Amino acid sequence: MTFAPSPGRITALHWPGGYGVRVDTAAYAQYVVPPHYDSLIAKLVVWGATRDEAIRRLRRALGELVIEGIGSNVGLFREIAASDDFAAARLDTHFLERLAQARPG
Amino acid sequence: MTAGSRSFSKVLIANRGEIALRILRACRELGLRTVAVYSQADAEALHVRFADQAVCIGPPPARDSYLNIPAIISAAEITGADAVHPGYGFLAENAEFAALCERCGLVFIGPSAPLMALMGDKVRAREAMVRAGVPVLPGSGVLATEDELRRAAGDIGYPLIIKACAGGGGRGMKIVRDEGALVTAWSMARTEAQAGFGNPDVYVERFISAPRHIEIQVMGDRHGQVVHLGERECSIQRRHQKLVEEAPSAVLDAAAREQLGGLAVRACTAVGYDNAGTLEFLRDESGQCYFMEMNTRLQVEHTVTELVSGVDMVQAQLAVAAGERLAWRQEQLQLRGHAIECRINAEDP
Repeated sequence: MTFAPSPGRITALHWPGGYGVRVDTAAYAQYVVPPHYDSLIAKLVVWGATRDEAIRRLRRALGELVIEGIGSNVGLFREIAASDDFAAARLDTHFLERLAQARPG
Repeated sequence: MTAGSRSFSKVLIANRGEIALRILRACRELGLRTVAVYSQADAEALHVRFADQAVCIGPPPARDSYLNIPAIISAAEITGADAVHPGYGFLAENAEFAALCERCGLVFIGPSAPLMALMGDKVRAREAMVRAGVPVLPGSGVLATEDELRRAAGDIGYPLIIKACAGGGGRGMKIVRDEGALVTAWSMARTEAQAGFGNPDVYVERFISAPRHIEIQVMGDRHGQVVHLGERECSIQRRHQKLVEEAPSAVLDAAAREQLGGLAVRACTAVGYDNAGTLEFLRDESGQCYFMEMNTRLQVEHTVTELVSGVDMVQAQLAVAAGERLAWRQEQLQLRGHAIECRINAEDP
C-alpha cells in the first residue's frame, strides 16, 4: 500500500510519552525492519484541547523522538509541525510541494 | 463476544505491524483469545509474541504469506479461531476473502462481502452516492463530438479535466482552464487515448486544483443503524500517500460537519452498510465537498478519530461483527479537542 522501506536494524529507539501522546507501533530497539512490506513503523498521535495545543504537543513529542540505525521521515514531520502554513491550517494536497519550495538553497 | 447473535471467542488477526498489535489489544481487553499469523520474515515481530497463539503462514513475500488465503484459513482451522480481523491493506478489502471466511464459519470483522463488493466498485459506489443525494464531482459521459464537448464543458465549468475512459496513470488526461483551450485539448486527449489504450473515448470532469482531503468515518451495525464519528482531514500527502491526518478539520464548522456526516450516514443507511467505513471527499476552494470513494475497512488514521470521540473503534468493530447493536446513538457521540497523527515511515530522508 505504500513505498518500500529503508530496511535494517533499529539501533536506538525512544518514543515520546506524556499526557495526550499515543504511539502505535510494533517496532522496538534492535528490531530489524524487513524489506518486504510497507514502510510504516509507527503512528505518533497527539491530542490537545485545541488545535494549537495539539500542535505544541506534537512539536514537543517530535523533539523527544529518537530513531537510529534506519532512515525515517521524522525530520519532515518536525519541519511540518514548525511551519506557519500548518499552524494556520492552510492545507491542501499541494502542501508538501510548497514546503519543499520554501526550503532555503 | 457473546452478547450478539454471531458469537466468537478467538480472533485470528490476518495482518502484521502496528495494526496487528492494535487489534490484539482490543481483543485482550474484551477477553477474546488471539491468533497471530506471520511470514518467515516476521518471526521476531511483536504481534507474534503478544498473541495467544501464532502460526507461520509462508515465506516473506506478502503474496505467499499475508495474502495467502488458503494458509490463513488453514491457520484459523488449526487453532480453532472463529473470527478473522483483516486490519488494513492486505486482504482487508477483498470481498472474496470476506465471503470465504463466512463460508468457512469464520466471522469476518468488517462489512459483509456484498457491501464490500458494492462500495469497492467505484462506478457502483458513485451511483449509490448519487441516489442518496451525496454530491459527486460533476462529470460527463463519453464525448464524441465538438458539440457534445462544448455543452458538457458549459455545464461543468472551468477548470475541468479531460480523461480517457480506458485510461489511467495520467495518460490522455488534460487540464483545461478556459474555453479557448478546450477543443485542442480534447483532440489531443483523444489522440493520446487512441495511441495509449486503443480507444479514443474521453469524458470531462470538474477539476479541483488545490483540494483538501476530508473524510467521514462511519460505523454501522447489522440492525440498520449507522452513525458517523466526524471527519478527518488528510490533505498532507505525498504521491497520494497520507502523511499527516487530523481530526477535526479546521475548515468544517459544526453545521458543515453535521451536513456532511448526515449525508454519509444517509448513504450508508440506504445500502445497509455495517461495520467501519470511510467516505473520502475532495473539498474545493469554495467549500463544496465531493464524494471520491469509500474505504470498506478500518483505516490507518482511525486513531485520530478515537482520540477525539473516545470510541475504541476496533472494539466497536468486534461488537457489531458479533451482531451487537451500536452502543451509541448519533446525538450521544460528542467530539472533544483536536488530534493529529504523523505516519512515521522507515525511509531515506
